[in-house]
Amino acid sequence: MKLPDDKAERTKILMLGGIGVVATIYVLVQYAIIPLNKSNKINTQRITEITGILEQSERDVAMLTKNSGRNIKALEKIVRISKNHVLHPSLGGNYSLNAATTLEDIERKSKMELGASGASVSANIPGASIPAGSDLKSYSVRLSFSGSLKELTDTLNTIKKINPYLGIKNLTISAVGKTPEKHAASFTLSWLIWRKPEMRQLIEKQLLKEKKPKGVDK
Amino acid sequence: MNLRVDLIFESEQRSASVFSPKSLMRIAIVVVPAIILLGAGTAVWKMVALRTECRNLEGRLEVTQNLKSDAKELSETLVINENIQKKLNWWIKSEINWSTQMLALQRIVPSTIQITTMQITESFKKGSSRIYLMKLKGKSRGATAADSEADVQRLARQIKSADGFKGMIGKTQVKKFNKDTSARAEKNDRIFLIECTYKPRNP
Repeated sequence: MKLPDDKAERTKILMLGGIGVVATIYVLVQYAIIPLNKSNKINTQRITEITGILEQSERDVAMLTKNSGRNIKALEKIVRISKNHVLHPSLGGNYSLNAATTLEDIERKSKMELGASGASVSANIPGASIPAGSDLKSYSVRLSFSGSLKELTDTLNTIKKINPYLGIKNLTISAVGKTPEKHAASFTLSWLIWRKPEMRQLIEKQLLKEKKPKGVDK
Repeated sequence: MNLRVDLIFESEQRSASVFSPKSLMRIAIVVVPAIILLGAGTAVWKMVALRTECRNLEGRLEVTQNLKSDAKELSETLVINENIQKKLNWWIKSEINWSTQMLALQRIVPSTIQITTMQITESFKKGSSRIYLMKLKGKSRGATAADSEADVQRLARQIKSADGFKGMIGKTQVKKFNKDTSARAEKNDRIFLIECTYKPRNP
């Protein structure tokens, strides 16, 4: 385009052109570049924020595999002890039948006769803090025995061989009359029991669930 | 007399300078919009890149957050299960093998002493430390009354250090030492009570 010959006219056109360019730049900066930069700043902040959360979460998730292994190990031990050494009720919450079976076993293996009396259930056993529902108690039976010291120690050893988790408490041994080889002994034999009997099934289920590969439908 | 003759019109005049206002304007007409477009283009490109990265991170976060809640649940279960395991361990390890203790006691009781009653009780300290108390009642028959007493005191000391007891008993004490007043007792016969407090057991 050819500019007019007249200087004043040319200046006018150039000024108008200049104003047009400045206006265009202003509009571009105001309505495109500034909002874009603002959006970029927000996105950068969000990315920083998410990255922080993500790093923490990924650290926690990395512990998942490690903790899963530890949990399986703990559960396997608990299930094994619960299955073999914890006393479970039969016939609607009755512990005495299964306890009697163990007592018969002790008598048979030690070849000694034990007199049983007064069964009782304790409060939660001491030790580490665990939720009340998962806690353990003890079921105790008072036993009396008559025999030599060797027979008594053999019987106590037999008890521990049958079930190492059977507790022997409040042991009293007295001499019987003039015969030093005869002793009368009494002690409390305590079985571990779950505070809630359904714990046996719950921990077994928990172990199966933990062992199941992740992502497999229930 | 000076005479100036203009042979070209004013509009046809050209500047002798390398950068004439006209050429600068022409350059500016091209360069300025180019710079602005480049800036805007960079900003748009950056915005697209940031949005994409943001979306990717949000996707990863969603997956991780689901796993994180599983991880939290698992760590809570783990604490419970490890505490159950500790409790089972405590139950078995805080106990004493009484048959070993009885045989160890049998080995150190001298022929001048007869243990008539052995009683073991347990209590708990600070909720989880098991403390056993062993009470030994018996008779002592020495050549003299002093011998009877010396035998009982020796037995009380020996219990603390003898094999089978070593490191297990915190305190032994002769609680009672009296003349035996029973019908068949001899002059120097004495009855006694020794109390042995075991060290707190909390494995």
